[in-house]
Amino acid sequence: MLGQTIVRTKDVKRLYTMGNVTVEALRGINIEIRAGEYLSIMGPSGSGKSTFFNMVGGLDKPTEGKVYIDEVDVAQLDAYELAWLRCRKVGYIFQSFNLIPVMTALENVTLPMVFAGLNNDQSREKGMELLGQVGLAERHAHKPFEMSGGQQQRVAIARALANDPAIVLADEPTGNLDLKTGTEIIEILSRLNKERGVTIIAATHDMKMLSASDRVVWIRDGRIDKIEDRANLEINIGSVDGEH
Amino acid sequence: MPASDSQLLEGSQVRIGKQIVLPLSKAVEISLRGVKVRFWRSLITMSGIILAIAFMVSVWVGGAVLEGLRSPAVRDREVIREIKPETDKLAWTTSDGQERSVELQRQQAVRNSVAWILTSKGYDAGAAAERAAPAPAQGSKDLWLVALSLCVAVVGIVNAMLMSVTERFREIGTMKCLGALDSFIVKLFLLESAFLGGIGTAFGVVLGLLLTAGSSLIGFWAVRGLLLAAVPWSDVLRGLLVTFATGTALSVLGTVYPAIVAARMEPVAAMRQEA
Repeated sequence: MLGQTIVRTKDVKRLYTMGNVTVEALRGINIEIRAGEYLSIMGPSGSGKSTFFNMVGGLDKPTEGKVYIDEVDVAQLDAYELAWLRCRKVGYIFQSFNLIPVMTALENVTLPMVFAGLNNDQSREKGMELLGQVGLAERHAHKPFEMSGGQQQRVAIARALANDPAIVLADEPTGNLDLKTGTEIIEILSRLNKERGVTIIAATHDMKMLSASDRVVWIRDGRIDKIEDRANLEINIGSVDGEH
Repeated sequence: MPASDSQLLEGSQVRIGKQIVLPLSKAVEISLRGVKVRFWRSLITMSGIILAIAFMVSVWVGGAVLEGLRSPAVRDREVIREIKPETDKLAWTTSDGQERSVELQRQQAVRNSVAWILTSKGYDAGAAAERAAPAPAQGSKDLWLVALSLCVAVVGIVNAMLMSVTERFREIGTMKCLGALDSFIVKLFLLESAFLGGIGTAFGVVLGLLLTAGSSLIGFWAVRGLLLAAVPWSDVLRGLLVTFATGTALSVLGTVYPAIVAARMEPVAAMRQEA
C-alpha cells in the first residue's frame, strides 16, 4: 500500500520573533512521509509539534529549509497554487471540528467541491456519498449545532475527503471527544486510510491513536526525538504510557 | 486505486494547478445564506445605518412636504384653523337707573391661509423659486447633520464588521484551508454587507417615512387634508432612490477594510484553540 514519498522535509527550521526574543520552534527536521501511510506526530505542547504539523500541511512556510509536498517546494507556490493545494491535495480535520455554523452538514461537505469548481448536482451527489461513508447520510440537512461532537467530527472527515486529497491532516482529531467517540473517529480514519489509500498525518496526544498508526514521530524541543514503526510500538507502548 | 492517487503517481510533471476564481453567483449564494441565518443579529449591526437613513429620509421628505405646502397653489388656500366661541357682554342703564346686562354668545370661525400657518410655526412661507436668498442656512445645516450622521453610521459599520471578523476568524481560516482565495473572502464580506445595507436602508426608509408622516400630521393637523396632495411624490421617489444607493454604498464602503483584514487572515488561524 505504501507508495512514493508524498511529503518530504529538508532541514526545516522555523523561527518566531516575539519582540526582541527569537524563539526557535523547529531546529532542523528531516522526514519522509510515504503515500498511504498513517503517521502520528506526538509531543508535549511547546515541542514544535503544531508548527511542524502546519508546515507539512502547507499552512506555514519554513524560515529555513524546504518542505516538499508531492515533490513540489511549498515555498515556491503563489497564492493561487497554495489555495489549489489546500483545496485538492490536502484535507484538514481540526480539534474543534470547524464546521461552518450557518451551513448544513451537506453544505459543509460540498463547500470544498464548490471551491474546486464542481457544479451543484455533482457536488451534492458526491457529498451524500461521503456522508454515507461516515454514517451520517440521514442527517445531511442538520446544522452543526444540532449534532453531537462525534457527528460533527464525522462531517469534518467527510469534508476533508471532498476533493479526494492525497493527504489528510488531522490536528488532535479526538481532542474534544470522549473515549468512545474518539475511538470511533480513529476507526473511521483508519478505515479510510486502508480503503482509499489516503495518507493520514495526525498530531495527537491520544494514546489510542498509536495502535492505528504505521509510524509515530516524537517531537521534542523542535527536533525529532524518535521515529517508531508500529512493530516496535506494540512492545514499547507500556513505556510510552509511563513517559507521559 | 482512487483517481487522485493515480494522478499522483504519474510521474514528475508539474502536479500543482492554480485555484480557479469562483463565479460571482457562488459568492452571492453563500453570502445570501449567511445573511439569512444571521438576519436579526445583523440588523443590530446595521442599526446605525437604519437610524441614519431614517434621519436622512425624514429630513428629505419633511423638507419636501414643506416645499409642497409653500407652492403657490397650496400656500394661499384658506383653511379653517379653529372655531372660536366669543362672548360679548352688553350692558346698559335703564331709565330708572338700574344696571342691566345680557350676555351674547356667538361662534367665530378663524380662517387662515396655509401661509399664515407656516409663518406661525416659524417656517419661511415663500416658495423656493420666490425666495430672496436661494441658499437658506437651514438647508445646509440639515445637509451637514445628515452627512455627519451617515459618517457616524459608517464608522459604526467598520467597528461592527471588525468585530464580526474577529468572531468569525475560525470560519474564515477554515474556508481558506478548504481552498478559498483571498478575493473570495473579500467578495463574501462585501456582498453580505451590500445585502444587509440594502435591507437596513429599507428598514430605515420605512422608519423615516413613518416619522415624517407622524411629525407632519402633528405639525400641520389643521391642513391635514392638503398634506397628501401637497407632497411632491416624484421628488420623494427620486430621493428614496438616492437614499437606497447611499445606504448600500456606505454599508459596502464600511466593510472594505474589515473584509481585507479577513482575507489576510492566515489559514492557521483555524487551528487555534482559544476563543
